[in-house]
Amino acid sequence: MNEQQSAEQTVETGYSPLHQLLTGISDWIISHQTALQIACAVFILSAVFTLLYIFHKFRRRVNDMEDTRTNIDPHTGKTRPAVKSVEMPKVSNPDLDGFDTGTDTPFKNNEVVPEEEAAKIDSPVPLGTDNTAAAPSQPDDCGSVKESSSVPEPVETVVNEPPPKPTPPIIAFTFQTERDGKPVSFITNEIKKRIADFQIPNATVDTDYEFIFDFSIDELKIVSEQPEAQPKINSTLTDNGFSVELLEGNRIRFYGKPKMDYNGKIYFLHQTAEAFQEKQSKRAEGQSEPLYNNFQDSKPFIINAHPKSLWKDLPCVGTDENGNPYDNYGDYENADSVSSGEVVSYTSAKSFEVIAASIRGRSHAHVGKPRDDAYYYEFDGRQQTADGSNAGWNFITVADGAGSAKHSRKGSEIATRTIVQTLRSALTAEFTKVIFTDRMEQIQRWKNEFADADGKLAPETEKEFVEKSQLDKVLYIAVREAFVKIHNEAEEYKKKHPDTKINDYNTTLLAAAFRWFPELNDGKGGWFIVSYWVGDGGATILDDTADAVGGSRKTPRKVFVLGEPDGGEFAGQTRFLTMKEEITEEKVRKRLRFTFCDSFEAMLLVTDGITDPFFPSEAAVVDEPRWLEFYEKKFKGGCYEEPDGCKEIFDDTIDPQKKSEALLKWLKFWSKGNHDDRTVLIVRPTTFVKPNN
Amino acid sequence: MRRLPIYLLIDTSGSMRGEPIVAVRSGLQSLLASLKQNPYALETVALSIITFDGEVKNLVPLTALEDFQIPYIDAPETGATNLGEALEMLLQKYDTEIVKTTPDRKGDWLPFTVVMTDGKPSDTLMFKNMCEKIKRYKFARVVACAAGPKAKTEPLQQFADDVFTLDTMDSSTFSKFWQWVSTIVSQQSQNVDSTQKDELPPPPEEIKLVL
Repeated sequence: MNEQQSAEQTVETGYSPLHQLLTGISDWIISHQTALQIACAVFILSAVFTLLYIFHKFRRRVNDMEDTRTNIDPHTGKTRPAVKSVEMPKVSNPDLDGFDTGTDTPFKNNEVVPEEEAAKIDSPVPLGTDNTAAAPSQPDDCGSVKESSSVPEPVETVVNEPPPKPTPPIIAFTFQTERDGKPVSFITNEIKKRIADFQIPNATVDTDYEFIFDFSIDELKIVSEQPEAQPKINSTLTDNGFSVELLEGNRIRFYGKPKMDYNGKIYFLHQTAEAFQEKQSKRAEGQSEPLYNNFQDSKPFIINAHPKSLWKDLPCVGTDENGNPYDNYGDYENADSVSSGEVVSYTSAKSFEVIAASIRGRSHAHVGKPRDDAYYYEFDGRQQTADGSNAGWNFITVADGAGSAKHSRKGSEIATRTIVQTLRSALTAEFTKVIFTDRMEQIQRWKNEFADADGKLAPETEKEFVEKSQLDKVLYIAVREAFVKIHNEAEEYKKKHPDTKINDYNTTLLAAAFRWFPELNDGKGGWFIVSYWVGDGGATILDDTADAVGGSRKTPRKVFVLGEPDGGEFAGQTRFLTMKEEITEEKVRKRLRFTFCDSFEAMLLVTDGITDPFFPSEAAVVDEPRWLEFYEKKFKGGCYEEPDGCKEIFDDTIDPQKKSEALLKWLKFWSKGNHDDRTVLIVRPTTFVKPNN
Repeated sequence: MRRLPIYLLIDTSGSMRGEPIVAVRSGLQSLLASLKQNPYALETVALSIITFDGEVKNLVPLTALEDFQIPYIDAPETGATNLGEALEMLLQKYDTEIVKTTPDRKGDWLPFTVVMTDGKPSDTLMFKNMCEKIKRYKFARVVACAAGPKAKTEPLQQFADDVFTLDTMDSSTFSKFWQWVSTIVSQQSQNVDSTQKDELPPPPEEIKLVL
């Protein structure tokens, strides 16, 4: 017994004073449980409120600072005028309401976001705009519209108040998790990891965009049954042209055509289906409960401005931004765009039209520099043919003044006019009779050879042809004359401006002379074309003889490319008419082309402002199928497809002058990185008759 | 599509740690932002970033300006300045990334390169070899910048067309430097088709040309 007693004794004495104290406290706690809970709640709540108040104040300061920094109009670069603050109406999207993405805090209790902050959250303010102007007229929840003008304006307190920040882009979704019938808690981290790994490509204004956020995680299912729980984006994104949809396999497709540029972050809000349901039921009880409030992740997101919107269109003469007058024409004026069209009633049966247009490139317009391209054409109606109809020579030409040469627009103008006028005075009726008409048999033999060889004269024949026709001499004289005229202009200009060089007038030249010979093909007639081409650009004839004679040719339609482009070793280099070494008989002869064709759909002369965007290389510019593709798909196709298109070009009831205005419209097509002057000259057969004729 | 390739070679050696590297980051931000406001640049410029310390990294391969996203650039605690190796990588990238004109394809514009360092090359032998090799490559321009008091200009003059110095390495000087780079690039993108080398736009007074 003694032993037992002593054991009990030991046990009893085991209660230390500390133990007794703790037991006492716990007893007390148990008996005062409810009161303590209340005390704790009061303490914690007040601490939370204090912290949030401090945080809110701090954020206001940060916002103020940021707003003054960003108070610059992104379009003009000027500081915006101080905006008078107006009371922001509470515009809420019931699904994404209550969000604040002002920080990257992963957990944020939105219930205590102050009213004023909450109002900013999802106001449908487009990015990059002055939101104070846009927001006040938006209807609030109840559909009523608050007018900003109805707000009194106590001047002293409102001036200089910065405008509220636009809401950043938000994507939100709800998900279910399940493994062996139980929710999985680590999924949130998986989602965060996924978001961190997304490589979101940059978007561009006015350009289709798509990115798929892949959340294919085994235990996860993005909720889509209830409309409110479906993946969503906020109005900042919808207003900027974006949409979102859920694809199979937990992938969210984010797509659209943005309207405004943005450089910042995109936010991801995600929550569990349980959290969603809890909020739903609170809503059902009448509590104002936002649908998302947990887990924020963010990634950088950039929407580039469209380069289109950045190009300026400055006049060549005007006043610069500092108020100083400038004149970029100097002594050589040139209209920003020009177009013309003319119909030529050629023989009793054949009429054709010339339609031409030329526009100043973006790169010139951006800095107020003039257009350097030129075109020119003339028809010689004086020559009577054997059958009594008007079948004189016709001359067409385009030229591209070098962008780097300061007077090149004068160079291209002189070149085009001189070559036409010199050729015209050389190719007289008499000359034509001696060289061609009196030797039709020989010419016909050449023509047959040309057709047999699929559009190329055999070197022997060509040599004979050149020698007999003397066309090489005629062309050489005309080319040299163009060079001399430019040279003289430069010399004249040099008297006033000593540093002037002929290089300042650098220009390319593409020219063709064509005539109908009724004697060819046993009196059925045929076209003969002689052409010269120095520099880049392109010149072709789309032959449609096959169509006309019932398709005997292997290739249904033939394209004759009238020369070869000259490209340099590096991008942007070419040859110019104004280079002395180009002015030799041998060089000119190398650049000559003789072409026979019984019937054509179109002749085209274009500068490199056209070939660059449509032909990926120099090889492509001499590739016949490429020209067919260009003509059918890009040019004709473009004219028919565009809502504001130019299909009247192909309508024979329309005056060619009108058509040239349509061509001018087509020339304004958008092509990234191609911003040179553009010139097109088309010759096409027509049945159009001028009303007065 | 003909691109105007821009290679940025940035020194991330130990001495760049701290304010200088932070300044480089914000400088890149402002470079990118101002280039994006220039329509010529936005349509033609492609950028690449090569960083060099004890290790050379091609942080971003040649990427069109519109698709470009600024990477996180960091400097290690310590590290050598392997500029020679960086130039080697530049030339290697030149060979593989730059499209040359062929009959079937229009080539890129000549590339433009900016090198920024705050020291002197540690890999002297490699550096010497690369200075020889780079002469066989065509660039629109190679601009080198010696930042801070410890940077040596002599080695840079062996390969660059123009060498500049920044006396201080604070963020305001750095940001002026990158602003100026953006002006050069804008000018370059505007005049790609002119055959002669343009005068550089005048640098701000903190940046001095080494003659």
